[in-house]
Amino acid sequence: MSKKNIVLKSSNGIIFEVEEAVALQSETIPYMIEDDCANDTIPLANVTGDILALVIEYCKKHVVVADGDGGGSSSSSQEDLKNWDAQFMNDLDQSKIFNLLLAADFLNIKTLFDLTCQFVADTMIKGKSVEEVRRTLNIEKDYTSEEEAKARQENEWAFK
Amino acid sequence: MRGSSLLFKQRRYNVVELILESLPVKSLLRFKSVSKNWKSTIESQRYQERQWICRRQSRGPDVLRMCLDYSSDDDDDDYGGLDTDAQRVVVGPSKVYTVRFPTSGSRVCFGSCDGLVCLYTLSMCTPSVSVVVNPATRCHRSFPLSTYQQLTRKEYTYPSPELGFGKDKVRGTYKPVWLYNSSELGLDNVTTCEVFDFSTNAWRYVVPASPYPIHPYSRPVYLDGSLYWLTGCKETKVLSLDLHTETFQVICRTPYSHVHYNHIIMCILDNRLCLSYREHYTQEIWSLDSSGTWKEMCSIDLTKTRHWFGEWTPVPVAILEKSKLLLRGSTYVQPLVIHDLHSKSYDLLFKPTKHVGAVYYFQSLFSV
Repeated sequence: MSKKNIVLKSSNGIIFEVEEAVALQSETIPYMIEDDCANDTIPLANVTGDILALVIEYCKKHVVVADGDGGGSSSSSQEDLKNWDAQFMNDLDQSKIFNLLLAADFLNIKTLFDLTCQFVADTMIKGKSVEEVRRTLNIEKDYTSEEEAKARQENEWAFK
Repeated sequence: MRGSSLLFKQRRYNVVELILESLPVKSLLRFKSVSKNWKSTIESQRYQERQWICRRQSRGPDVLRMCLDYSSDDDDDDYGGLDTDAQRVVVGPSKVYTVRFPTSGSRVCFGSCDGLVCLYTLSMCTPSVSVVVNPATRCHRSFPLSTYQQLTRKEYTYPSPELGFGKDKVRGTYKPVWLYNSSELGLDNVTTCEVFDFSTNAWRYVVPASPYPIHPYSRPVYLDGSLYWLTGCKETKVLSLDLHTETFQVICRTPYSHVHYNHIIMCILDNRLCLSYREHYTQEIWSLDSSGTWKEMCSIDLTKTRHWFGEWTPVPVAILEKSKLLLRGSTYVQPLVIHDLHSKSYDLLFKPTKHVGAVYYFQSLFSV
């Protein structure tokens, strides 16, 4: 059987042609194929071209390992993949990370979603102060000063 | 920043939950101050269940070493709780914490249930204590003494049974349970069972209690909705109490037909019911698999642990890093020793100078 390609179109009109196996790591895309069988191109209205390029880069990397059962021990390729994931995330700026998280959510790519969630938790939340977390994640403080003081007081020891 | 503000708007599910679920409990308590949304998320039952599952799946158990009080005049009353900066040792991904609670008993129930530990006193200890503590959140709740504890304040019998602590998984309620042989107290029926109900804040009797007497040294262990004891019949069997239906049942035999009473110990390792039995200088550990058969897990050469435990039989606490069996002494001062199941080595982890109880434990946000 010949390999089938799938054409994805980003919100800003950029076209990507990928192998079916790469695209099917998304659990959303199969539904879009069924819904839209007349048209070969799948429009992704929520994902911009630069982010879609990252998603595809991730999926391409991960599809090879998922299929490749020959050559190299599986533990070393797992290790390589982990290192690759870490490097991949490290190279992104904050706004790309958030948009990637949204895209992974929209496209329902579980491993990428988990990876970005964990990265956000580890680098932007863990060990940060309440104020830093609000600033980083752009969260509006909806407590009054009294309410905030009370919430803090309830768990005073956790701030030490 | 467009992405981040979108991220926390209405989504198909709560992204905050997903991002927060891998954080330690101490951070979560602090982040309740971020916003009302974060506070209500972290305090919701759904999120607390999710954090628990995530913690259970991420790695093996941690270990808590709790300073236990025999008398109220024990020194330094500095606050315990799970102070993550306190004395701590790391075994692979597992942490071994040493903690001291403001209210502590002289005894601790075996293991932990949903990240909660239960401490209590027996006999003439002053002051009398029964308390459930979540070491991670520092929430604790004391409860009154059972009839049994009150009786033992006047007359102490040895060996004395120990308190069990577990959860009715259907109702989601926690239950401390005493089961003791009635003959010890001069009563007519075979056993007496008292259960504490946190909703009414009172002890009540379970009738009928176990129709079989319990093994005098039997220490109840909790696993998955039931408490387990060993029977004191001619042939030792495993007795269970379903904490929802509150019915007793003998579930199986042990791998041994005749046992010397104080050489058999029940424990929970790797989420399985386990039995350890000592013969001379060999201590075998068996685990009950899902089909209900005992499989030998390992055997401990007690000539190699004598140096730390003396002639006493060590108690298995947990398996750390998949293949490291943590053992504790069974006397007043309990050293912790690690037995590597692969290399068969034995290494001392802690040598306490005071009375310390060790249990396996997973951090949670639950409270009673």
